[in-house]
Amino acid sequence: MRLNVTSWVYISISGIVAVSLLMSLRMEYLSSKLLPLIIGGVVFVLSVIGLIREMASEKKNNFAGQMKRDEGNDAGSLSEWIGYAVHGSWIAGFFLVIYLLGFMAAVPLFLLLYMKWLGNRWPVVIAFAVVIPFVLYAIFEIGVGIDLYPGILFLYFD
Amino acid sequence: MTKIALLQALQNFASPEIWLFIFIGVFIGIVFGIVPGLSGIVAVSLVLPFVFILTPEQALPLIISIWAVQFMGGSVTAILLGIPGTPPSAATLLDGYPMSQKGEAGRALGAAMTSSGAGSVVTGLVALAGVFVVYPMVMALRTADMVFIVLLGIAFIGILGSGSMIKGLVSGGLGLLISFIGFQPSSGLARFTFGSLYLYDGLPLLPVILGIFALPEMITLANSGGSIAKTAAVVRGMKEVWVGVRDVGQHWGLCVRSAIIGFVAGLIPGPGASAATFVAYGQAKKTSKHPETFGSGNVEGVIAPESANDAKEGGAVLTTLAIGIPGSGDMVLLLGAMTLLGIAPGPVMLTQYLPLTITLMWTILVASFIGVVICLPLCPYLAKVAFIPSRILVPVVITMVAVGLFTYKEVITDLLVALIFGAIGLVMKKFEFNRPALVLGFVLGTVFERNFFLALSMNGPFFFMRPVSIGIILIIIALFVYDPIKGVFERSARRRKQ
Repeated sequence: MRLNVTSWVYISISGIVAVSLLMSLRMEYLSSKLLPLIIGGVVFVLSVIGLIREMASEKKNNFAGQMKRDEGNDAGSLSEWIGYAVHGSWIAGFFLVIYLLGFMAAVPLFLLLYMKWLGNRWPVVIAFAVVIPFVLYAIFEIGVGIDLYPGILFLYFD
Repeated sequence: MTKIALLQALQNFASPEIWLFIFIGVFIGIVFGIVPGLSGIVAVSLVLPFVFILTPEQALPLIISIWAVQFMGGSVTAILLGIPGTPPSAATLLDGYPMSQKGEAGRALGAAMTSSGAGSVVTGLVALAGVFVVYPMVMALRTADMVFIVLLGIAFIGILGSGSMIKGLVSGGLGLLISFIGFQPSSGLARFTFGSLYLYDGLPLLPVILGIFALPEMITLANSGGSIAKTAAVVRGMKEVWVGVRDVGQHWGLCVRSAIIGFVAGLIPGPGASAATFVAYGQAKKTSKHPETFGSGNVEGVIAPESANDAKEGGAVLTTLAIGIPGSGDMVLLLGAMTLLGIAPGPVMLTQYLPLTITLMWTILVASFIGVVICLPLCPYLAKVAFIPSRILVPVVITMVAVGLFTYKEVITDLLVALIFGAIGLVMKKFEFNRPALVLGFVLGTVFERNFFLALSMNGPFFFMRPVSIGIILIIIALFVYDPIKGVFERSARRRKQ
């Protein structure tokens, strides 16, 4: 029987909670494992109930002849999810560059590349890539006195 | 004690600092309310990193002002563009947009702004009285009761909020589980840390909140592309706006009634806040001399929801502060901010922190009033904010999120946590799992566990055998069975009709 995407979400949740239940069972003291076991148990049971309901509703749809291909109808099509993954990758890449090169290098780089990729014109992109880092520096480094992260590479060579 | 608290609250307003933060909050709230796709939740999430460098008397009015005024911005786009900037503005759209299509955009805006302000005046007065009504109820609560109060809060948000009951409860339960990560004081054991020192103190609050709320919104906005607003109705001048202001004066009874409905609905955690505007709209239609004109541009259909919209905030704040149950998903962030400031909502808000509670009630009034004063003359120009394209908004907001995440504790790993919760938040958003329920479980998990073990050690395994605790348990059970029973009644009503 074909499972819809929401069912797989419930299965994932059940799996993660099952792992946490097993880890809780191995804890030394009752006071440390009691609530994780109770709450984890409830969440596990609810996830299984949710999974059964999803499977039942999918079966009902198939039985009624409504052969809807589940592309996660309300949850978005495959192309939508690819779009989310692409934009998510940009954000992940930005955070990685912050880790490597620090804020003052990563921010203008991100704004230049991402804003251009999104379709902004060069004057707008360059203006934001210059102004925003300057504003951040003024507010945080000078104003509030917080040193923005310099990047692991610069820390290594410091 | 009450007189002293009132005087202390007034003293807070004598400080110019609070006015500065209220003005900043109003400005942010209006802008974020106007732009569809952004909202008060995103605005408050972005402001949270700065909360811990402010005092509670600065930070909380800032947050309250953002959130009280966002709906005013939301009504601008609802009326001019036919797009509700915030979910409660959907009720304003029903008659506000038809009015602007008939060439009465200015009148609709004037009526919306003025009734918003009037609603907040009612809130300011009624909420103060509400504090004294709620006080004896809150003082009767004990340690054991607080355990079930937390469960009640999760049940309200999870069951009655958006999405299905199962999804809401799973979300709340997951939030509680996530809160168990880290060092447990009673046993001295580190749970679910996998040997990581970073997780020893538990997951940090801000990366979780920003990840769950802000990142999915930005990813969705970036993916949808372009500007959601395409064309706007034109406001011809201030003369038109003043007609709307006079309309509110002529319908003052409707305005007050709707405000009271809004305040009472706001007291009810869960959907009470969101439903308030539609309930007010419904009563306006029922009591109108021309109900047949509703939906095609009746100014009463704008006055009622807007008055309720602002008034409900007072009720929601009172429930959140006094009992610790958030009146809405947005209130979960207020709880988060208070946690960051080291203030635990509950009875202490009506005793030790009563001046702060009164200050926050009045902040709603003051912020709404300032919002009206700013928005009224700017009515003809406000809609332009909604045309800021997402290709400019999204990179700038993501940059602010990244900086905010780092400035919280100056730990770079927070960015990774936010990224992980961003992915979780996106999945939850698209599959209609209840994100506020997860955050609520996470925020209140420590309180829940502490009170649970305290109650267990003080009163034994039957610690729930108290009238208040049993009453709360019965309410939780009622929430569980409400939907199935409602379904049974609806099905039998349908069968009788057939």
